[in-house]
Amino acid sequence: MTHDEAKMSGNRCGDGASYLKQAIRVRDVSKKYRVYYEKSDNIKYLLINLLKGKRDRYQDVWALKDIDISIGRGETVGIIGDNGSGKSTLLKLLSGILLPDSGSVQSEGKMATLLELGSGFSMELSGRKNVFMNASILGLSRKEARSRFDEIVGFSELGEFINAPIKSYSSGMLVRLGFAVAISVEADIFLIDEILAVGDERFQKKCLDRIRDLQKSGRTIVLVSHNMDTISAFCSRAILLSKGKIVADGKPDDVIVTYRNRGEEF
Amino acid sequence: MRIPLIRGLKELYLRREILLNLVMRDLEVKYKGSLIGIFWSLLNPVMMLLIYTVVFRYVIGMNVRNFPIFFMCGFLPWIFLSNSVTMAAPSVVNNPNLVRKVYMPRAIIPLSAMVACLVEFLMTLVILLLALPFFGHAPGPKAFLLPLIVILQAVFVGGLALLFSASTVHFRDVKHLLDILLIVWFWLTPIVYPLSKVKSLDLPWSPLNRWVAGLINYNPMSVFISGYRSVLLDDPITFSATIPMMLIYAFGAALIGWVVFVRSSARFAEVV
Repeated sequence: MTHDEAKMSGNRCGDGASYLKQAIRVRDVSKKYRVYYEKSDNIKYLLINLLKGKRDRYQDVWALKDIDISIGRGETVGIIGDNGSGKSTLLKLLSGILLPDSGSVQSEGKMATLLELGSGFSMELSGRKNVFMNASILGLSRKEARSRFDEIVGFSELGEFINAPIKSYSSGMLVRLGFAVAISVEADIFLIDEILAVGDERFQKKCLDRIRDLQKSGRTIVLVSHNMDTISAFCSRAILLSKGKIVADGKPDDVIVTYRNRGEEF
Repeated sequence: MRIPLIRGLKELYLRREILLNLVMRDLEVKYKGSLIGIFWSLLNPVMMLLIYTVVFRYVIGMNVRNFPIFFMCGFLPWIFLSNSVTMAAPSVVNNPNLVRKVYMPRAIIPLSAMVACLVEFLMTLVILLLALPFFGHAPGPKAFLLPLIVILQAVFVGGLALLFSASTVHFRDVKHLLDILLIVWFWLTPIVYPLSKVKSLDLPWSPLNRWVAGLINYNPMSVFISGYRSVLLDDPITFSATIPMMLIYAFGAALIGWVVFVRSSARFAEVV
């Protein structure tokens, strides 16, 4: 067991003093998904099935089971694991997009959830208008977005195209705009899901530099990635998930070794 | 774990800029920044006016004084309601990424559809106000009560928008039922005919007749439309009696819609 269970439960008692140092606290969290074989998701079938006495058939699948994590301020935590191991579910629970079936998730400070680029983008509208739309969804006020607008356009390298409708953009341009807005969000905690690998190599480097700046200014970052180089280069800690459980939690390089060695067993 | 109802309201208020942006996005895509677009919103009411004038006046032979204005005072608020619920109902299902990929108060999605319709309604209402004097109904002092009625109707419609958008997530065929409901509701509301006509009818007493008459008299849209006609046309309706009813309908619908929406939105990200 690579679990840090003893340490976790130790933290739990010292709420008063240690609480302030914590950015995120996940306690005994479990999350199940209901997978339906047959579901009456419209009223017609619901009535027919009621008359026939048929019930919905489903199976509960535990996406996460008894997860305990506490993340301190300023930590950069990488979450790794195979597809379906519960990484994205964990991130969504941290952000509040999903609610746990049991246990609790607490966080201190403003949170920015970057699970996709360009939420709320509307193809008909100009890049400029989409910046404000996307920024408000990510939690940036109009005033903040306005004061950072030039910076955002600069980062996206779109220049004059910012005034053109985004349906005329190439996919690279769209991604750059989305990333430029996402990274301009002011928050204490950043939840990032695989959005770092965008654009060409030069742009990627720029994005990673920006992440470094966030780290230096003491932001807490939780990062889901399949790219072990990124995890190893950026994270101060890594958590390995497998089938909804924490299998390893510690130094990134150690956890990556555990993941690579035992990859097939899980 | 449930988001408490009050905290949800506070959060909705804090993130109101998203709502404004979504409304502007809707309107902008629709009108392309041109004011001429308002006339598109008027096209439907004007066509309906022509049709109902022909049918009611010349085919059925019913004659309502100043029919164009009378009709518009009822039909514009009706369009606001029916557009809002038909746009809001599928709004959550149609925006899966705003539910699954970002954290924001989900009620913003149906409410922004409603507010976009409200803005259109207000624009057509201004045109109606400008047209009133030409039909011999210069707005009197009572017209100052108009904003109150608009707000109460918007609260009512907002409640329905929440209710229908949440139920569409769980039952994808709500739309069909909604279409039927809207047709029945339209005819049970004194929009093309005056309420007084129903009251003066000498129908044989039967439970069905009484039931239908009760619906026509007291359904929420009848009450709101009576309110609009009362303030815009100086209809001799006892206005003081309708205000409490509007309040009850508005906040009743808002409360039901909010409770249903908040309770079911906890699982939206899993089922959308």
